Amino acid sequence: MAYLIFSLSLMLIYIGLAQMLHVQFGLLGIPNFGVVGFWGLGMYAVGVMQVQLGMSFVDAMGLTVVLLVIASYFLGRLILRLERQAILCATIAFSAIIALLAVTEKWMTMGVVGLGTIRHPFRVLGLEEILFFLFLLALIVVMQILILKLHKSRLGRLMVATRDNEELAASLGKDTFQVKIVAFTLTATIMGVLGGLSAPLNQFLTPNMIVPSITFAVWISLVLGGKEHALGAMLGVFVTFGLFDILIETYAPVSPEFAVVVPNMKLFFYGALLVGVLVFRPTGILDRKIKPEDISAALSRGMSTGLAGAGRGMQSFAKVADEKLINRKKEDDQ
Amino acid sequence: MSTIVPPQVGSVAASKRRGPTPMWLIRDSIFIGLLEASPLILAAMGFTLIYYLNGFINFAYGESITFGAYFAVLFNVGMGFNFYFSIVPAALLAGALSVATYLFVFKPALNRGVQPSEMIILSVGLSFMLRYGLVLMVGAENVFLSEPPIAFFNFGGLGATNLQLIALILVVIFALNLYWLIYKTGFGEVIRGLANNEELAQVSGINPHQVSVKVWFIAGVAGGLSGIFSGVFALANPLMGWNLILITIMVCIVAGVGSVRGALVASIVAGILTSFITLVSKPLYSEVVLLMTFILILWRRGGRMA
Repeated sequence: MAYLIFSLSLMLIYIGLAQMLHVQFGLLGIPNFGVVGFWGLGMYAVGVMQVQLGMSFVDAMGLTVVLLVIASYFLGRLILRLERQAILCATIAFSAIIALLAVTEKWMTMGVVGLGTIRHPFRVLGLEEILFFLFLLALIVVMQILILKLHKSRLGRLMVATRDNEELAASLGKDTFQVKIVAFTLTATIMGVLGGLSAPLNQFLTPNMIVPSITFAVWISLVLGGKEHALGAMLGVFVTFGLFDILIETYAPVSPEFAVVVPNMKLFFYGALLVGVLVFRPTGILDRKIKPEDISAALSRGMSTGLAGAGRGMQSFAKVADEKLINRKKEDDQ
Repeated sequence: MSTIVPPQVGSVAASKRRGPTPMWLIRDSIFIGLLEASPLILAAMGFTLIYYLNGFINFAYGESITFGAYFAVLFNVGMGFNFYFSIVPAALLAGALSVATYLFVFKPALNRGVQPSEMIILSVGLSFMLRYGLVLMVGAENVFLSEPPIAFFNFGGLGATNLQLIALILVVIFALNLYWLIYKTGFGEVIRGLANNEELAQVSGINPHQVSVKVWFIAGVAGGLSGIFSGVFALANPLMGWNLILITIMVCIVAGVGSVRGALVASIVAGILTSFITLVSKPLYSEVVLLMTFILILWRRGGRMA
């Protein structure tokens, strides 16, 4: 039972990460391949502040948020103007840097020895895990509602327009870089907060937790579930993490020899699934929520106001030209 | 994540013992850097060919590296071939694997019009599939090549093993051949033509499919050799390709897309820089510095990949 709650809590963390990636990649088109970097930074920041500096969980989390905002804003400023392939490589490099620093900075992170123990924030005897799970659940539900609202809002449409045709959106007077950097900072910070929340879940932190397969698991969930659909992230995590990590690893009657193979088999299937989905159904299980027609409609509305302005200009120009013509005619007559 | 270029037995330690006087330091880092850069040089030259021709970053190229090393282990340890004889079939098989990934995954995806940024995700997926397929078959433990007896050579106080020297010589031969192929032959011209203007190349009677298969094969052979030489320096494990591919991509992007010449120079510089930082501080810091430099170079260029 305790293990089930742990697995479910972890699944909620993954859902959160996939939701944030949905905003970054699905809506804005920022291919963030450094998910595990932000997650790991948040996790280690909370761990270090709590264990090495003796702060309470809430204080540690507060400072971690400040740190994450600074880090992701700075990184965003450096990379968000780049083309997509470059962003992808730069974010991978960022996550590799975080993983390396967790090993090298032994005075802070204890290196490969590991850092622990991180206490649960809710100090109710026997109910700590349950309460923490409920807290995570509430957080994920709130984030899901916000994402559903975002999909219906002007901001959501602006994000999609920025993704599909940044020049066009910019030419209509939208500050697309600001949209990108604000959204990136916010979502990357939440990824880090989710990392901070998984610190008490894992209780003992080692650098080999910051592995690319976490980034990869989040990506496969999102791409499989449907990267442009508001519920795609959640569905994707249910299908991947729910199926493999909870159903098979916890409930399926597997022999101990086979159980060692399961995690590797899982990553093998993730890879195969990702290849299959991208080649045969690029939109994922759930199709996009915001249809291209909606965007073009929204944009043409923007265009038509622009055109109306231009039309007024044309009218006044025509008037002046008419007057000139009339004057010239008068001159000719005389 | 383990070190990308494994710190070599003896040489780094010996140099550290001698103490960091500036002249020694520069000499040592150039020497060690050249010896240890050979896997990176091969990987970068192969990678940049695919990137140039098809225009996307192929993370699955890392698996050519890993599988090259494992094929060598298969021939060398599994079948009892002589070490030098097992290099050739292993490299050819790595090339065949690379062609297979192109024919069965990347070509159908390119034909369906998958965007470059999604091609990268696809290649990461394929890379995970191949890597953990390998783990499922042979396990995640390190495997070792049974190498010929090791002899040390001394160059004015700097040590190198016979294997390191042979690797370096083979890399030089391979790199020169590749250079000649790309810049001096008709086939190189065809590749460059196809990469720059596919329609025009097709009109001139070039079959893009055939050229692509050849390029992916050459790149796969280069990757396989790179894996074998990393295996010579340390050991083979399923993560070695993934660890090398990140630095390879960095080097190729810094060098400029499709520039085999640039990839050659940039990988040697990266090797020397790595060994220099390793000599003055910890090996892992050299990776941190390289990765940060990479992000800053991308930023300075303002996003142009070339």
